[in-house]
Amino acid sequence: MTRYILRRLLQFIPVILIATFIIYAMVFAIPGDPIRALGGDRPMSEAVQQTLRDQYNLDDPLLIQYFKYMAGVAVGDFGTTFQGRPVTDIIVQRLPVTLYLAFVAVIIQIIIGVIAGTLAAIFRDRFIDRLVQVSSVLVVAVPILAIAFGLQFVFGLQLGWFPIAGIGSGFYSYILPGFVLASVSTALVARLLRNSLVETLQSDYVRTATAKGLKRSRVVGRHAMRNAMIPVVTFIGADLATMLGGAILTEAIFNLPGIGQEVFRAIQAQEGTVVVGIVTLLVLFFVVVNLIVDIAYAFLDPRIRYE
Amino acid sequence: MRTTNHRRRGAGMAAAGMSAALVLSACGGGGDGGDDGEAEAVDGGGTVSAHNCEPQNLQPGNSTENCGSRILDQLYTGLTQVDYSDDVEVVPGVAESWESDDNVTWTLELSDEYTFHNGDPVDANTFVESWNWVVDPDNAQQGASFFDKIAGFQDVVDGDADELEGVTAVDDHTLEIELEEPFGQLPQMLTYSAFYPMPSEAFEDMDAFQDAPIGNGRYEMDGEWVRDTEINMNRYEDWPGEDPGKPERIEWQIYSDTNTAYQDVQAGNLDLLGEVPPNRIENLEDDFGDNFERYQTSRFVYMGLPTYDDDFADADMRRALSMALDRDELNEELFDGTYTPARSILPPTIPQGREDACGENCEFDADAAAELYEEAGGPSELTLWTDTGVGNEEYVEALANQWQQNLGIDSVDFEMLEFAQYLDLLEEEDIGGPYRLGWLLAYPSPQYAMEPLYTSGAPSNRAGYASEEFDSKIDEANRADEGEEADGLYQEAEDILLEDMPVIPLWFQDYFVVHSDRVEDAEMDLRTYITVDQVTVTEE
Repeated sequence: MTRYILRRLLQFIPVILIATFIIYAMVFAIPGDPIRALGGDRPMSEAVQQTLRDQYNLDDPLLIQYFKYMAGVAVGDFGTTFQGRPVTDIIVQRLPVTLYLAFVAVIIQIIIGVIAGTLAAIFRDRFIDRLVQVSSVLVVAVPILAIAFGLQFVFGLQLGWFPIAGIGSGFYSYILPGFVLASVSTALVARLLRNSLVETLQSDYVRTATAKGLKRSRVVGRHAMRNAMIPVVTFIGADLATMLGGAILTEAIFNLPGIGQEVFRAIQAQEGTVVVGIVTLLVLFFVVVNLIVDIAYAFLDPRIRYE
Repeated sequence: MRTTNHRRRGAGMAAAGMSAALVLSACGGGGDGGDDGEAEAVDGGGTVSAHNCEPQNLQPGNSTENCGSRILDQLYTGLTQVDYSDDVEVVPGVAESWESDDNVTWTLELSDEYTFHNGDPVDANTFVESWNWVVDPDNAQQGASFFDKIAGFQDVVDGDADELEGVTAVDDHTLEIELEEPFGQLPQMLTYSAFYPMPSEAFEDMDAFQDAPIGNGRYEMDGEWVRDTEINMNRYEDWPGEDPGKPERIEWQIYSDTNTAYQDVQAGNLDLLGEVPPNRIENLEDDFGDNFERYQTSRFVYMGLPTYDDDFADADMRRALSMALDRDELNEELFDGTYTPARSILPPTIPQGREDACGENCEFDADAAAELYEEAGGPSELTLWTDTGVGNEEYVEALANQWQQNLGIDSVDFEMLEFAQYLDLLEEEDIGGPYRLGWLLAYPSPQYAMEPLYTSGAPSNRAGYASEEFDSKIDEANRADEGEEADGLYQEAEDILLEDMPVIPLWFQDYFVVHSDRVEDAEMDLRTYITVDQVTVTEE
């Protein structure tokens, strides 16, 4: 197991090098001069533009720029925005917000998704199963934007139960955006688990367990669930990683100063260092979460062994 | 705001498509912005919360966008200030008086009462030090180019001098400014944020300084700028000016989406929003009752014409393009009549602006336009250029439709580009057709509405317009003493532009301000800034 984890960790290095280079090259390839755009309608003097270009190595060819950047990263300098703010500052400020949001969303996803999926499977083809099926299709079909504005309007504006925007009210601030971010995935988790559990409940070992006279709750909870959860864990793992970078819309609508919004802004402003710094972090998250998911398999299914 | 109010009423009448109630409440509120006017403020002035967008930076010399400038406007007081509430006049700030015999050498007498929020005095040397720091190319300040009229600017930029030759502290309270050329509008220009004084500690580490800028303005920072979240400021009780801030405290809430801010005002979580999202405008009456108001601003939107391109070199052809546009219909169709169609280059919100300076060149006349276009040999195919952004594509397409219909143009293409790429092409004069751009006055002078955009070789002269007649008229106006003489000359310069049409005026963008029940007297000046410091907070 330890050797397996070590080997996986070593594989991270090329993954991150390749990912950062591709991202850097993509930002580099966006047409238009980012320094000129900084001034907008009111052009900056040539001298000012040149100082800024030198400062951010923008006149160098792509490879040189990239190596200069990575040389900085190697000694812990992740660069700055065009306004001189260190990228590490941005990450330190914004990452907790995004993590908090993703955490709330995953919890919602697990609680509601797993309960709904389990109930639907146990009461297969009964009312509750139909309810779960129909409502999950509905949630997936409605655009996330509509869900967000709907929740904001009803629970924020009309009822006033939750804040409309910002992070000023701590945990309460994250509930509505958490639901929005979790909505589609929760529906998918419910459907995924239902189908997987229905299948598992028909397998031989579950029937054996039932035949041996085990209680229904023990058969489902201890034997069937562990197997049925494997695809769900894979899904939630992958989803968690996308949530970190892909919450742009939710963060914007609920005015949460998270990572997603900053990536969006930095791409528009062509701030290569910011984009690469944050995206590298996300790539790192993605591979780590994947590793954890893989390890989790071993616990869920004793047949899976890593060497 | 009597004059502006009058104009606002005029705009309301023109906007026939808007519901009558909307027009009424937009105008009927009167200049005080309140409903009954006699609101009682809470003890001490209370706390007001206002929407803002995330500033690029909070460095006076480096801030050239609104999100930062709105904040700095409260934290700093320049040598001169503008009284936007009345005739858009320049009034004393740190400088008590200023004079010049030749509009080249200016002597400003500074008040000895202004102090920075840390207690340091603000004197003539403060300005010398601040300005030299801002123009130093090593500091890469975006606002540096605003100093280009001051003697010795180019030497500093070229590295031949460390300090501006033209700025000297004669004594603690006398500042002398020498210019390269006579410039009567200097007092107007000095109101701009690039000219604000900064305390010495700012220059040690500007990046750290901007987390909690120390200024000399009506309000002082309380805590640090929490990025993307909030900026809090308290009234600076030692501010010596005539109209100190009314609220005791301003809490700026930073939003990434104005729709969210709009809902927060509706829910009473936020007091002021000056950028109502366009899709909400038709619901204002339902959502806010009396708590909203419409303002004309100086935001000028135009279609520029690449005069360096052979197809657009003929002034008759350019006039034809202007006459073929039905601005009122476009305003109705695109914005429900909530913009002000532009028939001038100078915004009517400044005293020198004339609502219909353009005359028949901006009057819709399809037949005359078609005839003129044909005589001038206008091309039968057009390519329109725009940057992508909220609604830009939509209205550029609407313009194209009218040109196609009224001028017998066969086909119209569109080039829609990201802003950075768009600017590159404009800068390189690589645009082959009418292009969309806007302009907002950094300081309220007719000079700033024209000189940077239309004089030969000027940095923002994207049209490549070059007219000796215009250049010398601007030069003459700049030399003239501020006042009626200069105003007249600037208007003559405007007339030349409207005859030559290097750009086609489209409209001035109106803004809507919404506020919560607990504040009154919210106004917006022509820079699109809410006068947050002058609102009345009526409830704790």
